Amino acid sequence: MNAALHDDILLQQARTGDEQAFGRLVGRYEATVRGIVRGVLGTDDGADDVAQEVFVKFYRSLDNFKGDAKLSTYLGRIAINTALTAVDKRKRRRWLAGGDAATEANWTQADHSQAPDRADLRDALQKALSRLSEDYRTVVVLRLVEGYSVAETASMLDVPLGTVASRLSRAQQELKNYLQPILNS
Amino acid sequence: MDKLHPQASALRDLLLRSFDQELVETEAQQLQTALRTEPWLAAEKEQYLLLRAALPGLHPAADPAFTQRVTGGLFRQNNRMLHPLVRLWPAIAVAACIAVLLGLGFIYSTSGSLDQEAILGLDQVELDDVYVFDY
Repeated sequence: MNAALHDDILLQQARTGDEQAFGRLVGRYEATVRGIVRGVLGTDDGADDVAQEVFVKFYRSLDNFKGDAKLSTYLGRIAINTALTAVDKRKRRRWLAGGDAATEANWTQADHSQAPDRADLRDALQKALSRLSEDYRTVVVLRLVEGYSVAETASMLDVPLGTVASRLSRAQQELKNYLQPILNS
Repeated sequence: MDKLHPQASALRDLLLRSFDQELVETEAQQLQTALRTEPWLAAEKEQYLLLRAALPGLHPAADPAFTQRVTGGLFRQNNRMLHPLVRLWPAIAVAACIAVLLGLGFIYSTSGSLDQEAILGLDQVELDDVYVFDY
C-alpha cells in the first residue's frame, strides 16, 4: 500500500520532468523487468538492451498510465510485449541469415539426454527453463519467478485464468522431468 | 509406479492446481486422502515444492549500473531534444522549401520565366519608373 502510494508520488514527479524520481522508479523495478525480459527471451544475450527499451517506452508513455493497474503489472505488460517483439525480430534475423529454423527448434525442444545431474540448481533451472516453449516459459517466469498472481499473469498475457493454470501445470511437469536427477538427489 | 495408478494424471493435475488456486472442498479432500495413501504423489509434491521454492532464485539481483545506464541515456537524449529549434528543425526546413517552391511557381506563372531578372522583378520595370537623382 505504502509502496503503491510512493509509486504514485514518484510518477507524478517524473511526469513533471523530475529525472531523479524516474530514476528511483527504474531502480525499483529494473530487476523485475530484466527478469521478465530474460525469461521471455530465454537467454541473457541482449536482454539488458531490451530491458532498457522497456524503460524508454515507459518514460514516453508516462502520461498514458492512469493507475488502473499496479505499476508493476503495467511495466510487466510493456516488458512482455517488448521482449516478444525482440523474439520475433531474432527469429526473422535467423531465418534471413540462412534458415536456422532448426536451431530454434533445438533450442526449445526437450533434450532428456542432457539431464543436468551435476550443474548447480540455478544453472540447471535456467537451462531447463530455456527448453520450455515460449508460452510455458512466460507463465513460469511471471508467476513462479517474479511472483505475480495468476490473475495478474492472465491480465498481462491477455489470456483466461484457466489458460494460465493449464500452462503452469504443464510447464511444471516438464521442468520436473528435465530436473529429475537433481530433484531426486 | 504412478503410471500404474488409474487416476495418476487426474491426481497430479489436482496437486498442481492446489499450488496456485483454492480447490473446492471435495477436491481438497480427495487430494488429502491421495497424499496419505499414495506415496508417489507425496514424493511428487515434495519435488514440486522444491522446484517452486528454487524458481524465485532466478530473479536477477538489483543492478544500479543498469539504472544509471537507462536514466543517463534517456535524459541525455531528452536534453538534446529539448531545444525547440532542434526539435522543430525538420518541420521548419520543409515549410521553408514549400514557401520557396510556391514563390518560384508564382514568379513563373506571372512572368513566364525563372531567370535572375524575373526573380528579382527587374523584367517588369518600365523606363518611366526609373528616377534619376539630380544632385
